Amino acid sequence: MPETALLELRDLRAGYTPDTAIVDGVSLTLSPGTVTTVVGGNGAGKSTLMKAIYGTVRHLGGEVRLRGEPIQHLPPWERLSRGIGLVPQGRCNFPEMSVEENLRLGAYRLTRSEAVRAIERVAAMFPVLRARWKTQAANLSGGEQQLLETAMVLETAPSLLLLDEPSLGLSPKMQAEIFATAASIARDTGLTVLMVEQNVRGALRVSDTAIVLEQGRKLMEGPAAEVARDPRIRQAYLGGGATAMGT
Amino acid sequence: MDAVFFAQLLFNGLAIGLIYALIAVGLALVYGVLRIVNFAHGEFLMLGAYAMALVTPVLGLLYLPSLAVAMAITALLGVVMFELLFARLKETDFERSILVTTGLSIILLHGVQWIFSASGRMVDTEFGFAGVEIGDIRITATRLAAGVVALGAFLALWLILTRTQFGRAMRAISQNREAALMVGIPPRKVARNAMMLACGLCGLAGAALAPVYLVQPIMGQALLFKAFALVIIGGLGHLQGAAIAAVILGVVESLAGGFLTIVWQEAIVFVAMILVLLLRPQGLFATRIRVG
Ligand SMILES: Nc1ncnc2c1ncn2[C@@H]1O[C@H](COP(=O)(O)OP(=O)(O)O)[C@@H](O)[C@H]1O
Ligand SMILES: [Mg+2]
Repeated sequence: MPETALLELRDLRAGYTPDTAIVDGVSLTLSPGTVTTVVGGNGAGKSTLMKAIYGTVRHLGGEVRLRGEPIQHLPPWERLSRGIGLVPQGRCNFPEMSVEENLRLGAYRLTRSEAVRAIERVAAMFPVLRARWKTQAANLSGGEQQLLETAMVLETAPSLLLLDEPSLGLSPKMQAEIFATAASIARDTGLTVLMVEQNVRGALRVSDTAIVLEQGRKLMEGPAAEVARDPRIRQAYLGGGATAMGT
Repeated sequence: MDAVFFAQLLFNGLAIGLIYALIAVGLALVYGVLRIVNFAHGEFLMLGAYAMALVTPVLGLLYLPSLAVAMAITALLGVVMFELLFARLKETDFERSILVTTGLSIILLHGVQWIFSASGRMVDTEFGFAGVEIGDIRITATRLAAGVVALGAFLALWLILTRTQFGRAMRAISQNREAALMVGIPPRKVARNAMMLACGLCGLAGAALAPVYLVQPIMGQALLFKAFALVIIGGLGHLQGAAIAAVILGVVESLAGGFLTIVWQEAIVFVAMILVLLLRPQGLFATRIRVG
């Protein structure tokens, strides 16, 4: 059903140099309001896939379609304006600016009045940021910085949110909170989420679909619960045969 | 020691220090946003001074309008140079950027020398040689005006960098390029704006200096090397650091010129730079909050 798809990748190839495709022919379809998790080993090309969708790596072939419109030749800021947001892996904020200034920059693509409302909205969504309004981003905890970055991207009210390892380096409690937040935003606002996670167990629990990526290619795709039960997946990414899904 | 003499030196030093600061801040801004050390930055000072020399007689010696025109001309030249040269340099091209901007510096310097000759020219303004008396201190009006203009330019720059998205985007790119892309900042547009602002400020500094000093093609060179030293002392890409160092240098040089031999006046900044490089390679102020 291509006309109902929010995002469609067709044989997408992307990388860092003209001759090496790190993402090597990936096709997938995301329906509106769904949560999808990409799992795969280190260096599988998960981050590169996210960047290829947002437009911060070199496009080498294939198509990226947003609501049917090809966007693979648009720069990232144009994609952001069309409704794609990426929260990259690791720390990605303006460390020597306050929370307030970071949020003002999150509204860079918005008009002045839109910006005021957007900052209000995300501050209400993440009260912890309001409590640290004048604090420099560098002085926030890892979890607070991750929330700040997510808030900065959510200001543009994207229809597709790309989250690259949102739980990296966070406490288990904070990890659970991040997943719950992503799932509830998707449920409440119809936001479509595509995330990469090392905490496969936690991520799959809130996901509709799972995609397994290895060496830049899609190895497997299916409903999250089914993929979580697959013995090969449990072996490779879920720490052997453990069946307990709780933490 | 004569207190009036001291105060006069202090005043002159502050005025020239603020001018140094405008030059150094532009250099630091371009480095912060483009990661290019602009060896042609001093020539924008010289171009601003020549613009002042050419525009002032046409505008009937009016000081402020001439400054504004000179600043606009150098800002525009900055944009042209960005489109022709700077935008084509990649961040990894550090050596190439040194060669390209050094080449540009030599071309601009000799181009101006070819057109206007190497000899200096004086710039006359509505102030003429009038002086301003503050108590027992006498300071020439043009020098006082240069200091006031530089101070005003600084406040304006500060407001731009801290209060507008136009300026905030420059700080954003200098702090984290990936995060800048995350929030949808187009790097090339912001780099062009930074060049426009930096060259405009440098041109303004040159225009303000024009009625105080002799305007000649090489005037940018000596000041550029001082500005480099100041940027290194302040911490690369750190605007406040460079500005504070510049004002201190202006005052110290002025006092040294009054009490020591002239040789020391010129050497102080480089002695300070070498000490900073040896003792604190990240710059004196590098751990502070940076604006830029
Ligand atoms: N900036 C880069 N420049 C060149 N190669 C890169 C860059 N980032 C990642 N790679 C290469 O791309 C491959 C996939 O990396 P990445 O997409 O980050 O993997 P993952 O996120 O799945 O761990 C790796 O082999 C890595 O070495
Ligand atoms: Mg990764």
